[in-house]
Amino acid sequence: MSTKLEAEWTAFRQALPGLLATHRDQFVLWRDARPIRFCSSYKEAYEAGLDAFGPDDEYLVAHVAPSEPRAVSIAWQAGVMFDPNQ
Amino acid sequence: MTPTSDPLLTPHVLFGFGPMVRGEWALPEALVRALSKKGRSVPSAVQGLLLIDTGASHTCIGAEVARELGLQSRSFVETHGAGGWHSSPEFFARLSFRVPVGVGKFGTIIREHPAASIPALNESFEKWPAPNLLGHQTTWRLIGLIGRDLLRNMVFQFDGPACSFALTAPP
Repeated sequence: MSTKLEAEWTAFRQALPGLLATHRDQFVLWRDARPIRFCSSYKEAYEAGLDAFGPDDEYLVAHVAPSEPRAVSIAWQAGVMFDPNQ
Repeated sequence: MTPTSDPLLTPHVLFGFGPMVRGEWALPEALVRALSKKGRSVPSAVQGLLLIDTGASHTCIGAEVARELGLQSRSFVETHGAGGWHSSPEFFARLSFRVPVGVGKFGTIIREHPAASIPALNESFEKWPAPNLLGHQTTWRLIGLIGRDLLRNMVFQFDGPACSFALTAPP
């Protein structure tokens, strides 16, 4: 996993409370510990990053929304996803 | 193809493994254009099975699939599981899958969407005798989960007694 992207994520998380007041529910293109552009969709922010930085440079795309950790997949994490004996 | 001739719609597979569809992960079109512009090769799509998982908050991609496509993570998904909180890398990719839309009828859904990565997704699938269950399709692998972030804009109908399901989405 990219250390630089993790650093960007940490910086974004620190700035999130302030961003929620001004750009709630938007998607941010984020790089060098600051917002580059706010967009209405993930795809738009992703493509703005590609246009600005190319396919290889690292940049973060994040949803400006309250952080609510959730189980990615309840069945997966509970170990009850598959049972071929059914 | 009728539902009964599709190995994914047999009771053993449908109830033992869940509603699965055939599909593929590929690079998003904008990334394909960016790579082509630089004269670089574009990795082929990765094909396999996707599980429709109403218990998954996020659509997921197998971490090894993201690696094969050469995708770079663009974000993280914060999750809570048995091991506590952690962040999973998130990838933006193009997902297309073939879905039953009625008896003997199929359609294709295509979305460019962020997906949380799950390490060793297929490894956990492979420990069951899936290839045998799927008959001749011994090369199938589980490449992702279709979660509620995609399903929220679709209609999913699961008919246990009829051993069938249908998934429809607006264009």
